[in-house]
Amino acid sequence: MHSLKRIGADFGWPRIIIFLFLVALFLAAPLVGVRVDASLSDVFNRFGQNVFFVLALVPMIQSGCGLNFGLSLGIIAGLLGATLSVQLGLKGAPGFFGALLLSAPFAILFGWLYGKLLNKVKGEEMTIAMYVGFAGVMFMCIMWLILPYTAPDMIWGYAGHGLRTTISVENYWIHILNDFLAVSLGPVFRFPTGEILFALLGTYLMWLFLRTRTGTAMTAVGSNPDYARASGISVDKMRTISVVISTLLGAVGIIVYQQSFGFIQLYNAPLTMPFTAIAAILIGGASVKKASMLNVMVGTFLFQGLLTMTPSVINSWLQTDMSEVVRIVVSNGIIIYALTRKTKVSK
Amino acid sequence: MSGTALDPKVRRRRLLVRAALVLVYAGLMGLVFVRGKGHTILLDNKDSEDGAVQAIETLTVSVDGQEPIDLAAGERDQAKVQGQGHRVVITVKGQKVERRITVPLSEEMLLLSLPKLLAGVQPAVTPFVPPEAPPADDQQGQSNAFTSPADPNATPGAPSTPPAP
Amino acid sequence: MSGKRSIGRFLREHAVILLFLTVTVLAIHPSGLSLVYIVQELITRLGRDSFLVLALLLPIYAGMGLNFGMTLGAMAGQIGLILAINYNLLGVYGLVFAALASLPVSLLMGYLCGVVLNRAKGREMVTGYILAFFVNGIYQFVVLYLMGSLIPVRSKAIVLSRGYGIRNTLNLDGVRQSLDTLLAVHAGPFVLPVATFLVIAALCVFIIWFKKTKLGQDMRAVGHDMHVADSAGVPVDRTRIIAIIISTVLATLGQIIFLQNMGNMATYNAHDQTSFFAVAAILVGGASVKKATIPNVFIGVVLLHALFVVSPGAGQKLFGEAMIGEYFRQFIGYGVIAVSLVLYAWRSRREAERLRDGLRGGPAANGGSQ
Repeated sequence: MHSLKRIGADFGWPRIIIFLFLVALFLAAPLVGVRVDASLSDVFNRFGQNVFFVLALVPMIQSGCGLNFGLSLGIIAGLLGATLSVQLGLKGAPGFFGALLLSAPFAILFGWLYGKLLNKVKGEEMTIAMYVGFAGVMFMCIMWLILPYTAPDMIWGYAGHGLRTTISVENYWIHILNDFLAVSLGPVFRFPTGEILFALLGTYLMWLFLRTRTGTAMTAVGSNPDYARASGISVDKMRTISVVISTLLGAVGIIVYQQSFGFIQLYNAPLTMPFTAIAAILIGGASVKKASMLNVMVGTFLFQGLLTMTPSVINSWLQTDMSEVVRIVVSNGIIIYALTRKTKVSK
Repeated sequence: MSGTALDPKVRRRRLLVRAALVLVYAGLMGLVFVRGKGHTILLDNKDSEDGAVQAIETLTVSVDGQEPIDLAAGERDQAKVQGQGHRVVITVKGQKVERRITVPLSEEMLLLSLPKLLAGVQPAVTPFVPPEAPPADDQQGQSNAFTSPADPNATPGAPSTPPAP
Repeated sequence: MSGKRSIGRFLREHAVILLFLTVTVLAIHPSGLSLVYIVQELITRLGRDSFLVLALLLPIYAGMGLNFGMTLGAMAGQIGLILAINYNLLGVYGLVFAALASLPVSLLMGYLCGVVLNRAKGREMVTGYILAFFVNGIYQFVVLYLMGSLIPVRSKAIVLSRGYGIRNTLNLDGVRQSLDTLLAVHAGPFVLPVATFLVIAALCVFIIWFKKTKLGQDMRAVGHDMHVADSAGVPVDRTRIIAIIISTVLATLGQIIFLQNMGNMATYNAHDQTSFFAVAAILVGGASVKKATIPNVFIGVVLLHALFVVSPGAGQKLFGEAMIGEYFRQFIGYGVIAVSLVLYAWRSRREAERLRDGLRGGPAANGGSQ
């Protein structure tokens, strides 16, 4: 019993509870008419779709900048890259990687400016990040309407200019990752191998990075800024680097998301994406000051699992469409739960 | 809170204050409810059902000082009021008659038979039961039909879902 | 030389207000709106929005930052209004009924919010923000699914055609502007909702009086330094909860005042922007996360709404499309809050640095945690 308690404390009771709840949902699924294989397929898909957003939060948490509520800026960079890629007519693999390459300069620029801003407001990063993100999205809303895009797939046919709210990538690079080495079992289950491999690659690279000199310096800046400064590390420089990396990963994240989802979503869509990523990493056991790869993996899986299963099971059970309400309650409830944990002062 | 000699006294006073507050709260709610309740009074100038009272050829009626309404025999109009007691001024052939009516709290729509009111026949004010209307579609907000058959399996597409994380 | 420095300091201290005035004045002409119209709009909006912004004062006073959880109070107020409409209560009586009916819900919401925020010390603002979304989900569940089914609703007119759930838009004709018109005074080309202003004035008096009471002083101590207050015997957690409860109840009343002026209620969306507008207003008025006064409230409401009144038209003129005007307005709104927060944080850090330099290595005055 003593060791059970330790396992619980080590792994984190919240995660265990949510895991058990998820298992319960999976068990209940066939009883209410929800196909388990379809659900599993969904969960894996959504895992791959979202994991980069969660990964993007890690650098800034480690460097002490807090939860990146301004992830929208990275997402916008990715949207710019994706729309440019479609504008240029790039398809297939060149389209996907083209989008990544095209978004990089934007992401680096945005990240750099954003990082400089955050350095000036140490201690208040999170709220400011939120509003900077919102303002950025709104600014882009104006931009999407007036930038000179011309590809007929993307613009409003009637007006002749201005980008549509959602742009389908069906003819371009939809599922380019998902379908790569995909494994199909049965009529509904399709494991998006390519997407998962890409995600694992990204996670591995991040893990490696955190062990490089720069990576450890970044962590030092977050956990003990005075010691870092004394060791000659430039606190501001590390923080800026972490913000740039975070923004870059945000851009990668949205492009991966789009190839899986099938659509480029502009205008107000980036407003809520940071929150789901933050919910995921918090439920994975991360705190405002410390996050690990395990947090990312476990958190994304649990969170996306919950978001997939809870609405579908409850809908089938109650024979009514309450998915939106359920999603709101579950995802925000999780963030609240994580935010109200007493953070133990550990080494 | 350590028990002191004053404790029971303080507790009792606190309880009384709280009880008083609850009473005031309930009383206030009741008060505003009664005085704020809106009703629609249908003003009828028709013969009574049993034929005992005849409709007036032409009259003008004003409820609570609102715009006077002309009613010929057999006509009906309506007045929206607030509260329970109302002043009804009926003018027939130049002669003004004033009556007071009270409206029961629980009814939304009431039928006031003006001929009966003038003749002094009670009750002049009766609750009004609108006839069964066909089920209202989504666009009409003002229908007073009592029960529209609710389909338990209908998927609601109507309410727009607001954006939220 | 000192004259130059003091001008620089003046500009920096009032940077936000100056920024706003400049942008607003610049936008008046392209917007095509007359001054009379703008002033009347401001008068109306002062009446409509000030109460909600005043609700933010006490949590700031108690050191809990910007109470994004005020949305909970707004939702409670909306439930009260739904009940008032349900029973067909008219005029000011309807409003009072709505206020009274929502009181229990409001108190409960405030208490819960306070408890949650106490468990998230140092992260109150973010937690409050997310909590608002969370309770929004519960509100939706209650209003969209329970009302009309498990919770009996008398008036079929407010129920969706499927049989349960309240309609998306509620017509508030019965109580429309009933407080505003209770004592409307005409002054030249303008109409003043005097009754509403009196209510707002009463709240200001209450706040001023409250700050002088023991409870108010406790809050000030807690806001200044929680540990010092604790060692001085102030019940920190309880005081914080009370601050939030009062703020929530004020938000409830404020939302009712807001909606009676609007005349109709978007049942599921009306509260979404409540905290955003109130927070933006108080920040623009010169308040900060740690300090806010009553003048901040009114200055902020006037400045913010002046900009909001003129910017859509100006944006449309500048960019040529109506939709852009709307995005422009939102961009200005969020941007202004961001800029205000940045300016404040920057300023407080410079103060801390200056203090530190002055004391030659003494400990900085504030901890700086969010």
